[in-house]
Amino acid sequence: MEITIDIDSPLPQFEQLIEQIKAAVTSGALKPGDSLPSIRQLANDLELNNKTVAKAYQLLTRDSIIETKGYRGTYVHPKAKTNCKFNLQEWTLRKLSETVSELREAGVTDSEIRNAFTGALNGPPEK
Amino acid sequence: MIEIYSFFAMFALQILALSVVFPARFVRYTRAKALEYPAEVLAQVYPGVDPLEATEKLLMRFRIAHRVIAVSGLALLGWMAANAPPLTGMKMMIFPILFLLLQMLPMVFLTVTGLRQIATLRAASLERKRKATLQPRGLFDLISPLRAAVEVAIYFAFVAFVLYLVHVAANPIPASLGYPLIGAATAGLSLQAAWIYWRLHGRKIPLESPADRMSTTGMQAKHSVYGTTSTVVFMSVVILLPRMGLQDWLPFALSTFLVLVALQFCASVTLPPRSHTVS
Repeated sequence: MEITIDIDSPLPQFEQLIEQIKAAVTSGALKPGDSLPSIRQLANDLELNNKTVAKAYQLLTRDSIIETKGYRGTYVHPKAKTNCKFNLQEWTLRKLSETVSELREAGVTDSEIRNAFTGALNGPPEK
Repeated sequence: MIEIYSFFAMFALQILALSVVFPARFVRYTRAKALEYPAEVLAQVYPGVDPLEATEKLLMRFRIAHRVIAVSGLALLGWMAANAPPLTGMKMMIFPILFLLLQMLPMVFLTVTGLRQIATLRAASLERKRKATLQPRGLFDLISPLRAAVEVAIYFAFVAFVLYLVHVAANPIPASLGYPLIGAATAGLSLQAAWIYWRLHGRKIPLESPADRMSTTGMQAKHSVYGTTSTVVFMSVVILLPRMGLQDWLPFALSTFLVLVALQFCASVTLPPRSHTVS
């Protein structure tokens, strides 16, 4: 299974990596339990910074598409195919939209929602 | 006298293998490789230069250098044959070693040129679309675990053998000979391991495809196993021959070892089908 990184693409390199690994899992080119190259190997082969590949692997691990088994290496997660179908961005947007609707119904203004959202992102509200 | 004539025969083979067969194979290999590089990419790096013509020029010099070395080797062989009675045993051993170094010179020059080109290509960062395989690479993808285990076992057997001869044997060899031999075997094995590790996990050579990388690294790994084994066997022979009263066979043993090294060099160059070469 070969992947290609286009360095002229407007899509960030780590996202290209994520998309192609997800595509490989969805198409069945990568099966659950298949081993993946180390961060260093992939970064060297693609002439990318180790941190770029590490970020892609970190996000794929968070989404349970890959899993790291210590020194033994990185493997495709047993439920990777199902998890690939889950769109985290879409889910986040839906959840936020529901909350915003509830707040508006309660009479909270957009400006108050914006300030509260910024506050929530920056840390828990002070009591 | 038979040991001297055997040595001369092996020395002639050394000349033939490293100064005739190897250059011919290497030239064919390099020509085919040069054709694989995308012309538009090379035109960006070397504007106004025809890369194929430049490669041909370089290879022509390489062949001429080897022809000169081959002729000087034959002259050296003639001179040694004329001076055989005074030049025997250990005194004779210096010539194949010095000649091997001379035979390596054109390759050293080409390697330096190649490294400079790799640095230039790397600095130019030409590949806008970079490819990689999603398969981890490991040593055992290149050589079998059995072969690797045999190589390590041979190394440890050699170390044990030398330590036995230095410390336990009735007629011990001096430590000043034993430890440098162990050091040489260790250094050789470590260098090979470092080289294979670098080829497996280090930065790739620009414009080299993942499949090319695996095939060349695999071949290098295989030949490094043979190299280590033949080196260790040769060093054991160097220790054993004088103990058996056969020190006059040392030049022949050395020359046989160098011919084996030369044949490994020849075998390490994968030849493309004849239709790929430029006439």
